[in-house]
Amino acid sequence: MTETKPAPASRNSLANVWNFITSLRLAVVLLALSIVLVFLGTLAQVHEGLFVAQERWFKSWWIVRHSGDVWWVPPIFPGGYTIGVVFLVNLMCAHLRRFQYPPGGLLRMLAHYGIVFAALAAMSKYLLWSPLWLMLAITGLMFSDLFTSRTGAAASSGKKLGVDFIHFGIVVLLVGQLATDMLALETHMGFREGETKNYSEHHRDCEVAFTTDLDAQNEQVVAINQALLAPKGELRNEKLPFTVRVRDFATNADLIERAEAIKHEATLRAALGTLEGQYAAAEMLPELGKKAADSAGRVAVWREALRAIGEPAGDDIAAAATRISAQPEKATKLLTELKTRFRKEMIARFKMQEPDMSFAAGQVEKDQPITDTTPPAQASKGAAARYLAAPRAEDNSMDSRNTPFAVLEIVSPEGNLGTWLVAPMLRAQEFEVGGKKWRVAMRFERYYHPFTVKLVKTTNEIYPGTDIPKDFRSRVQIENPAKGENREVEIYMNSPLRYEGMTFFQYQMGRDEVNANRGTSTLQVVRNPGWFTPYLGCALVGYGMARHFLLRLLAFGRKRRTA
Amino acid sequence: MKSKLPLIITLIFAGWVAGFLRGPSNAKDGFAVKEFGALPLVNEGRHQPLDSLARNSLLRLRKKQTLNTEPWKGNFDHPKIISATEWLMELMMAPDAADAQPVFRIDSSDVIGLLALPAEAGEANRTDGKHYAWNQIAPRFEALRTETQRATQVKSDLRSAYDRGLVELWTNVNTYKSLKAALGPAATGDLAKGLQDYQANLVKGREAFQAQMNGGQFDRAILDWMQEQLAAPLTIPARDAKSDWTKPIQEIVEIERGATPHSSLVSFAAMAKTYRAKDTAGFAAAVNGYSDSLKLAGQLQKDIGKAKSEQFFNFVEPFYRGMVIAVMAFILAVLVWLSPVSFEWARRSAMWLATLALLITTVGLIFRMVHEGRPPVTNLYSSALFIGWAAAIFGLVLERVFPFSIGVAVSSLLTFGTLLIAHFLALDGDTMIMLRAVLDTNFWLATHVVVVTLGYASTFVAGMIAVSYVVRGFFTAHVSREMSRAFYNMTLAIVCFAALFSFVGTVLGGIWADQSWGRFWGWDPKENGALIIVLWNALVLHARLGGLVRERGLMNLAIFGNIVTSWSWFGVNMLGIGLHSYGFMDSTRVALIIFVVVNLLLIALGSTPLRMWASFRKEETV
Repeated sequence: MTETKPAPASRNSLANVWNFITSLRLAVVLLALSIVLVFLGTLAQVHEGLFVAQERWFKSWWIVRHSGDVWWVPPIFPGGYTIGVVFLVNLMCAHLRRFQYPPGGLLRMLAHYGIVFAALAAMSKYLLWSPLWLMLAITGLMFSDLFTSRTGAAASSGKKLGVDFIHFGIVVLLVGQLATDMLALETHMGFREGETKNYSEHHRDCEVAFTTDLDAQNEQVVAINQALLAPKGELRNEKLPFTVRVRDFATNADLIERAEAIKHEATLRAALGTLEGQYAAAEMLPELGKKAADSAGRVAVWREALRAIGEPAGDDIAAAATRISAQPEKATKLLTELKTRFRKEMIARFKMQEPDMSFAAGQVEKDQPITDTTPPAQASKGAAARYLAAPRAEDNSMDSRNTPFAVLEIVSPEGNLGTWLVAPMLRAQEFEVGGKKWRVAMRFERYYHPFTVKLVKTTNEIYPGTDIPKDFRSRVQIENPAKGENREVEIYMNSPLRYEGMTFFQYQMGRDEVNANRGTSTLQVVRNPGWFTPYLGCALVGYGMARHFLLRLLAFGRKRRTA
Repeated sequence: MKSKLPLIITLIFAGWVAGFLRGPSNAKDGFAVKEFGALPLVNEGRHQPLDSLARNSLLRLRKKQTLNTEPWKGNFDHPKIISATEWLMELMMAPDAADAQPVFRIDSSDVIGLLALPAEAGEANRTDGKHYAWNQIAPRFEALRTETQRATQVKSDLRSAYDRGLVELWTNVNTYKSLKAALGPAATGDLAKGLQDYQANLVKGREAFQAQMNGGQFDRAILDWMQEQLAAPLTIPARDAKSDWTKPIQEIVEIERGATPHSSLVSFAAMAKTYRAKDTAGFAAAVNGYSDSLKLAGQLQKDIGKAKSEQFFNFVEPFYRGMVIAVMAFILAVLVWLSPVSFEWARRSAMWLATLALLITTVGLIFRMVHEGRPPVTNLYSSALFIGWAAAIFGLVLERVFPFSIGVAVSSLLTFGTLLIAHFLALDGDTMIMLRAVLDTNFWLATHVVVVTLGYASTFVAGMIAVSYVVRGFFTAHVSREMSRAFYNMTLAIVCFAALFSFVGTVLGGIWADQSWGRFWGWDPKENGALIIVLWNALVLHARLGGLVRERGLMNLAIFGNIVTSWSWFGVNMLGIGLHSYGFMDSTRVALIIFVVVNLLLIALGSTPLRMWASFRKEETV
């Protein structure tokens, strides 16, 4: 690891830039920056959530501080892409600059590189199903290489080869990750036992699908990605005999059953009415004060209310209540304070419940009764009669899905057909255009495969007497008519299925909601053309490091023996 | 004489350890505690001896593997101390007596106040101000319930010391009660009556449950009783090869359906009866009879053998012994620093002792591996054991090459430190806990986890060598040019290994993730932690190569490596996010901060001008 002599000092600014780009100093600075980046990006996950923090810190060019950030976020910091790309440039230029013809001759070097590299590439591409093989092969290669490079003239030529391998492996890893970021596609395939699917679904993005039957077996589907809905414009497609106007859209919304919400609204209003009645007159205060002592929450509210009217909020609520009930003016004030506070609390408690209840509470708070015209009132047909959608903030945490909704107006040559509410939780809704039946549905974006997968059986074991999962596995049947394939295969933890350029992983397991005897399973389906780069990169770097350090150790040992 | 010292010292310690190889034994005229402790059962999914359940439970309850039944007495007043198994025997078969034992350690004075417990130590109060009996807690149990319900609503990282104390005590009380239910209807010694009571309670329990579901009035006490029964360990052996072990309450349900009581219930009743009657001979006969009957049922033979060997392992405590010997080795090694020439015997003794400690921990590790049928590292606890073990090897090899009492000091200190950490981690419960489905792969545990742990270990070794460089160089005048060169070479060599192991380990982890989740890199905190170690080691190597740092700079960087590694090992778990988070550990946070501060101070010390150093002052002036 001897450093080549620095280039003679040059007044040429271009040479200075070249020196800077290829310098070890830059490498050290980049390493330091990346350590800080990874550290801060990890801390950021606590506040920003796994997904957002990753996008902001690692899959970005710059991180710029914005309001609401935690105190340690720097005003500006290079993101993962910036550091990665500069790293690549630095690494490759440095090698270009320090490149030397090995004493053993170019041909020899090429042969050496070629053989080792080809072997590694072959291993990582074809021997992957057995990582043990990979390890064995690398070890064998290493020894043969060490042996040859220790004999005769080859000894000196191989000295820096290890470092070259390390850096080449790093390049493969960096480029591979960049490729993965851009090319990899992650979808899910969820089914019940016995169900067959020929598509998988995106885990975040939705689409609106218009379907019509061509004949008994085939249907025609026109799907519109949710990204196209966001501008709320007009959509046309030559295969659709109608125009679609997006009246409303939100990336995340709760679907609410109108009747349920109205019921909850009534309950809440009734409860609030009782409250009004209870806290109506001053003479009721002593009794109410006594009751308050039952619960810590109520005591806290009383204290606040007492403080708000400028009364000492001591330990004995009942005594304070009795005292104030004798002073009419103060009593009225206290009653109002208590009423507002309890009302607020009741509404807040409703809001924490399921969407139906929390929506009802929100409407009560705004004092807007839920009616048939409560938004999205524009939807006139289909599911809109029963459901309404309440938009809410996007949720970017790791395990949750956003459920968008849209209100679509369909205009055919015959005229305006009305508006439909679509959301992933709703079934397909029918309408007719030109004597032909069409169905519209919003669903997670689908990717169709030229083969079908049937879930044959699920196994879901836990350790007896615990809830620690022991074994999750799905037995699936793959049918690929084009290839004449029809076989069953087991997919379980740490043992995915690689098929047709995709990898199927066991992701989730459950029970059918209707029939608890029927198991359900979700497979994660990943298409990643760069999937083998980490294997190759790891093999290259690991091999290079082991080679380099072992050689140095041997040299050190020799030196000590002769000393 | 001095040449014999190393041998003598080592033999003394070897003899001390050998003394434990006789295994546990029973007191004269006492109960058959050893045989009882070797009985197999299943808890948290793992087949284990009763002895392990007893020790792990007691560790949780009072942070010790033994029970001091008279904690108000001073250490020299001979308080009565009983073994974990003796305590569990009493709890399972004579719960009324056990309820008076001070087994709950309560550190929060607010919790003590809440439960109106006597804070003053003394025999009259039957406490030392820290340990209390269930009898003392029970009267204000409802207050504990209400307060705990509130505390569990608070997010775990926002909980106050009081809240944490509440949750801890609540969990411990539940553990305690579930252990009480371990023998079910057999606990009283009268099985027929026990069965009757249980069946009656079960009927009442179901009614109460229904009532609770319907929102009506219900009997809280009987629901609690049901919950305790359901949380009990699985003490009833599988009826045949196909079925699983069960807990007594499940047996009652079977009996309700017309099954005959399981033979083990009959045996347990016989044990309880003889135990309560203080009939030691009868008790021994009952335990042995039960054990023999299990052997006859073919499929349990393996369980019995494993339970016995685990009980023996528990008794020998190889990691504790290794820890004690490592401390001795470290003290001797540091003694050498004061005067290298005259204390050569101490250096050699330290080497021998460190080797002895290594041997003992190796045996311990191998036992765990064989016993579990797993590679050495399966959880945080075993990662600590393994780091200590690997660091010991690195250190001893270095000491062979550079005999300056550096490698051996580092080796013994790291062995001691990591075994101590393991000791604290063991307070969380069973250390051989079953692995969740995603971790259930010996191949990746053996490659990724072992290699990345080696990366941690070697980074620590490099850091510790650098620490001893700073300490010895600053405070003693014995660091010669040759020695400082040795320091430099050692640190550099180990950093190279650290870079190799941490890189390969990290990428193997990525490949594992690719195999099980379909993504190579997910920026999960634990992954990032490992990545930072890789980047740090790369930075150290390149900084040296580029001439940015020389000898002392390298040392300071290596010391910072300690901080980086400790953050990856423990710090990221405290964030409480991601797939790797093993749960929140609070006292660890304080320990980690102290560790970081100490290392920063050492770096500051290492950055002081050379004229302040005892060793290099002369050279500076020359």
